[in-house]
Amino acid sequence: MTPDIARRRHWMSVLAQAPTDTLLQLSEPAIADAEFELIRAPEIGLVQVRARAGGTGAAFNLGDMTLTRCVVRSHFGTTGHGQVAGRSKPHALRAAQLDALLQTPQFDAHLHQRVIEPLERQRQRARHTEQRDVETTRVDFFTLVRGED
Amino acid sequence: MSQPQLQAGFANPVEDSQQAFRHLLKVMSEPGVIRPLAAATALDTLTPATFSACQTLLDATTTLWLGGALDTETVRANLGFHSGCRIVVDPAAADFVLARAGELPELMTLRAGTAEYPDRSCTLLVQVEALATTATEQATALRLSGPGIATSRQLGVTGLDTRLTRYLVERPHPFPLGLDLVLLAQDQVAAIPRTTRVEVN
Repeated sequence: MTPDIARRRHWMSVLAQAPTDTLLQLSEPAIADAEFELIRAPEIGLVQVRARAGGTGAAFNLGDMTLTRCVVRSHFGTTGHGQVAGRSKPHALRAAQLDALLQTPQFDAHLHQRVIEPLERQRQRARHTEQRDVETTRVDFFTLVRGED
Repeated sequence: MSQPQLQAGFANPVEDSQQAFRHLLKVMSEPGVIRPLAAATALDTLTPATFSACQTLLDATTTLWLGGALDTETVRANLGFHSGCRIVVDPAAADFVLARAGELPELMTLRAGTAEYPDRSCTLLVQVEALATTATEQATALRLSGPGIATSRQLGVTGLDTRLTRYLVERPHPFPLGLDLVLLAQDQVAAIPRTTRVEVN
C-alpha cells in the first residue's frame, strides 16, 4: 500500500466515524470557499457485510447494515467519496466534500490541522474512555488456558 | 488522480429511471413508436438517450458488451460507476450489447435464449443518428407490422447498416428465440422486438 493510499484511508475512516455534529461544525469554515459538483447525490442503501471466521476462515455473510454514500467533484477536479454508516445524508456529503479537498495540496495541510486531527484526537479519547469503563468490569478467571492463544 | 472523469448521472435516480423505464416499455410494446428519452446528459460518445437507457437497464446483475467507437475509458468508468454492470469481452456472454449499427458483433453468435427460456436472450442497444416517423433522405425506411401495431407503422432510421437491416428482415432465429432491438438516437428512443415483422420500403 502506497503512503498516499494509507493516508487517504486514514482520513476517510476518521471522517466516516466522526460524530455528525462535530464534523459539520469543524469543517464549515474550511470548505466555505470551495465549490462542488454532485456526481452521486447522497443516497441511503443497504450493504451486506461479509466476514471470515477468526479472520482467516471461510467467508460468510455477517449481516446487512445501512450505509449512506455520496460522490462529489471539487472545483480542483478531484473526486471525493463518502461512505458512512447510518442514514445521515449531510454527514456523507460532508465526508465526500472533505475527501475531495484533502486530495488537493492547497487544502491538505490546513484541513488536516483543523478537521482531521481534532476528530482523530476525539476518537482516541472516546476509545480510551470506553476501554477504561469496560476494563473495570473485567474478570480474571484462574485457569491455565483462557483460550486466547 | 489521472482517472477518467466521472460524470453526474440522473438528477433524481429513482424518478428519472422509472420514467425512462416507462418510455422504454412503451416503445417495446408498441414497436415503431418514438418516445423522448433524455433525462441524463450526454456521456463522451454516448448520446443522452443512450446514457439514460444504460442507467435504466443496467445493474450489477447484467453484463454488457461495448463495441467500437462507443467503447472508451470514460464510458467504461461511468457505466461501471453508475450501474455497476460487468463489461464482458465475449459478446456471447452479454445480456446487453451497446454499439453503433456498423460495429455490432456477429449477430448469430449472441445469446438468443432457449426454447424453455426465450427471455434469456441478448438485447441490442444500438445508437443511431436519427429516428423519424416519415422517410427522409438518408434514413432507412422500415415498415413494421405485428403485435402492438394496428395495421402497419413507418419508422425511418438514420444510421442502420445493411447487416442489421438484413437480420431484421430475415429474422434467422426461430421464434420465440431472437434478439430485441432498442434504437437510441440523440434524445429519442424506438424499439423493434423480435415479434415485429420488418419490411424495407
